[in-house]
Amino acid sequence: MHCGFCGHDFNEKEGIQGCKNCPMAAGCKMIKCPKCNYENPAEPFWLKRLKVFFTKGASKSLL
Amino acid sequence: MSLFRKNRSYHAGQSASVSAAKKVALVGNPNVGKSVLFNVLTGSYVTVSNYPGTSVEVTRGVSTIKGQPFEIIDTPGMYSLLPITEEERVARNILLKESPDVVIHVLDARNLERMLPMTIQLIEAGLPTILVVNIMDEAERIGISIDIPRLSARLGIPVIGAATTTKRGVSEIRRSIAEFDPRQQVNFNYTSKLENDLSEIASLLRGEYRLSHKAVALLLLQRDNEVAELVKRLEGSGYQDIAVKVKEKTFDRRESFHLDLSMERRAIVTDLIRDVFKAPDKRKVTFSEKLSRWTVRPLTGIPLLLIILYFGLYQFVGVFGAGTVVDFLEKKVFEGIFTPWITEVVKHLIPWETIQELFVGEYGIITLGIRYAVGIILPIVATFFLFFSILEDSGYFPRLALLVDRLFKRIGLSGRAVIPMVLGFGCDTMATMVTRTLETVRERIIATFLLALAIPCSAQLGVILALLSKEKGALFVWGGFMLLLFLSVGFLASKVMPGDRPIFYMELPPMRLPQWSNVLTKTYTRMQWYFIEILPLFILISILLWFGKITHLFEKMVEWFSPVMASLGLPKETAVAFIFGFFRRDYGAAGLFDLQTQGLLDARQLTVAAVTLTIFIPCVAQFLIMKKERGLKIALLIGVMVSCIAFGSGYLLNKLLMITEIL
Amino acid sequence: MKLSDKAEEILEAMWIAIEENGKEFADIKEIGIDPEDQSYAELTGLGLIALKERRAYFIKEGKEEGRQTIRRHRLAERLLMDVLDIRGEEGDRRACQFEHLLKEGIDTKVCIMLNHPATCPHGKNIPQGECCSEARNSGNLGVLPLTELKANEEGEIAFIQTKDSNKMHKLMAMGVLPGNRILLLQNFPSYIFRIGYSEFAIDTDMAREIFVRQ
Repeated sequence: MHCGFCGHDFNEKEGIQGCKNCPMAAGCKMIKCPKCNYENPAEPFWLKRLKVFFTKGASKSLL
Repeated sequence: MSLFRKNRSYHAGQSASVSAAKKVALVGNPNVGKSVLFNVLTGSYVTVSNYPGTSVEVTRGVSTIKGQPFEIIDTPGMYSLLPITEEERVARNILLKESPDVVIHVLDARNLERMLPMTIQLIEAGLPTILVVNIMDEAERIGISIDIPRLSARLGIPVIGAATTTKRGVSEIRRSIAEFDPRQQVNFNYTSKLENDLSEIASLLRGEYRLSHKAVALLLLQRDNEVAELVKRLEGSGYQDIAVKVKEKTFDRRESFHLDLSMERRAIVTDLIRDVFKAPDKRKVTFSEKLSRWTVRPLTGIPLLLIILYFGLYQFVGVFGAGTVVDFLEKKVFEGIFTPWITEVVKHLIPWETIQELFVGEYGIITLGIRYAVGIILPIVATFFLFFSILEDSGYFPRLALLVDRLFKRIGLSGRAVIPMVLGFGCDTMATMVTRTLETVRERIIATFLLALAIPCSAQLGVILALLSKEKGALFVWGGFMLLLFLSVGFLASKVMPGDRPIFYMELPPMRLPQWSNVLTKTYTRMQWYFIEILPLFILISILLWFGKITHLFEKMVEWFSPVMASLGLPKETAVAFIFGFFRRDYGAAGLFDLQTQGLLDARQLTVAAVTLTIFIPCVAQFLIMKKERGLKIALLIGVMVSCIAFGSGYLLNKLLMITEIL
Repeated sequence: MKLSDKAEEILEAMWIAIEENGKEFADIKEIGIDPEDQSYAELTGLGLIALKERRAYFIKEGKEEGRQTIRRHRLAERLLMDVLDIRGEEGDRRACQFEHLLKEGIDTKVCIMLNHPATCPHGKNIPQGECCSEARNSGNLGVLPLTELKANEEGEIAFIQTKDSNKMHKLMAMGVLPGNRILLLQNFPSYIFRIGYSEFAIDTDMAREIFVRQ
């Protein structure tokens, strides 16, 4: 994903998710950029699935 | 937690094959997409551990390529074989001690010339190198072309053009790793004087090194202590001669060895990239660059900022979101259709009046909690987050940070603190968490304090904007007062708090047109998060208020507050908004909204109430986060100070407005 | 020209009296060297000065020689203070001894090393040498901190001077490494520069620590 502040490209797994021990109701789905710590919203699950679905289709047709 | 789980599966399932697996080390500057490549290659089998004896983290993973297992090591950032920082030392130690079978040097295509010297060093050291020229997509976008096959031929190693974020070139990289042939080597020659010096030293070396003798000699000449130690250990009695020779050579070249060496390497690189790297002669000054210039020059940047704030915050969030849309939802949908209907339904289903009250009464879950959440808060945060996401995606924020850095230094913060401040206009709780990212404790405390004090959250801001825009002048008094308070309190805090001046540094990514898919995704995600977060709270507060009402506790609290309200020149009903406000700031502001609609407040009272409520105690969630991030003592201190300043300011402002009769 | 130390001091005193204080001559009583001293004969013998009734005048190359001696004296003062950190009376005394060594091109080297200073520690002008006008004509300012560059000026990074390894690290990650070209785009309210194809912003404190060769 692309950091909204510093423009760093990183993988979601690299991002820091500080919200796990946050006392707020549901915890947030923010992913912090490993370079500048800016909080970026994570892509919703269904949207990700949708994208995977489309790109998979595309790459299969290429192979 | 998840890391731990991965860890275990890694050891249980893969440890046998890992010992036999070939090692692949990824090296290169930071920010060239090394980690993205690592993740693409390894998938989820990842372990993170501190390198022995250091605080530097090294990530390792496993990849299966053509049925063969490979251990992939993501090394810390490295600029040269001669280390300056601890990270670089760790990276080199991995190369020296773990003897990777393949070393992948990842670099940024746009900065090929600057980063190639490191490739040369790797090849010169005899390391089995593959070069990945990453970020090709961006490079091509700005008109750079790179002749990859020719570069590969000149370097004598596999070179792959890639854009790892879009997975371009990844299959080629995997193939190169599997089919890697370590024998292909090309020699790079320095000037004869340096070559002579190097071979004089190299000829004295007898030991088996991981690096070529020439590279070892070069590092000795650069007075690398670690390598000197290694040579001492391996050469035994022969070390004496080597040390003498090295001393003699380093003394001869003491004046400018490092400079000479970098010049020579640069000359080699210039030869290498001739006809390979083609950049447009004249930098195309794109519109985005021009726009970027305008945003960062004070003369154009500040007016631009004001325009953005006026149209974005005032017109879009305030007038459209909090005005038009709220009016529609509140009046038409809720008061006109939904509330009467649901009241009917509930009264039909539940015979007891007290329970009816819980759902559809004055403080009912549906008639207050859900109405506030959906009717007032939702349109406001939706418009705010949309505005925020557009700005974010355009790359404006780093420019804002540098624009305010000088001003922020006066209040003890660096320009970076503009992010928590801007986020604070979204949600102060979230912003308080982000203060963790500021460099010094001093900055964090000042930022936390200012957030609690002077930054209204989006919902509150929207409601207040909507409230005040109806009274001419009230908005300016409120805005001016908040700005003055923010700066003066910040200035005082920076004088009182001990500690170092913060530093500011920031990369400026290119500005771009916001991509609608990004903006909508981000807005949607933020709203979803926010809504899931506030809805249960709103319902809970409604229940508490209902409980307070049936036990008459709530009325007593309003009574207790009324002398305070009276001293601010406010009707006692305003106390309700303040009690709401403690649960959630936006809830309090929405309460104020209700009061104004009922015609209970005049312009002066409205302004005073808005100012006091904006400053007044952070909501419960923010307070909890403050306690968690800064400790109970500081959180309580901030809480007490904020309350005092809130009512003190309210009192003063009321008197001031009465005397001057501005409003 | 090889002169005795005393002869050089006479030239200096004369140069101050005539060139800086605007007199036509220097009164021998005020020079501070015994009027009977043979160094006067040395100077008249070389045709640098003329004596008339206890008045000393420059003749021919005398004035230029005086200029050069005063230049060496003041360069010596700067060297002692800026580089060797010897100040006050001690500095003045040592400078008087030191100046006599700064001959045959050493003065030029010192001048280059000190980046062509314009004044001595007492605030008096240092007469320019050839090296100074050369440097000025070539527009070469030597090594400067980034803060001294104007917007849109380019240079090559010479070195980074910081004790804070954290800062060093951050600068390096931005590509601020010796040898790289750096283009300053803006210097207010923050310093914005470009290295390669990337742009960065830093504050004054950091900009001061980057040294650039133009």
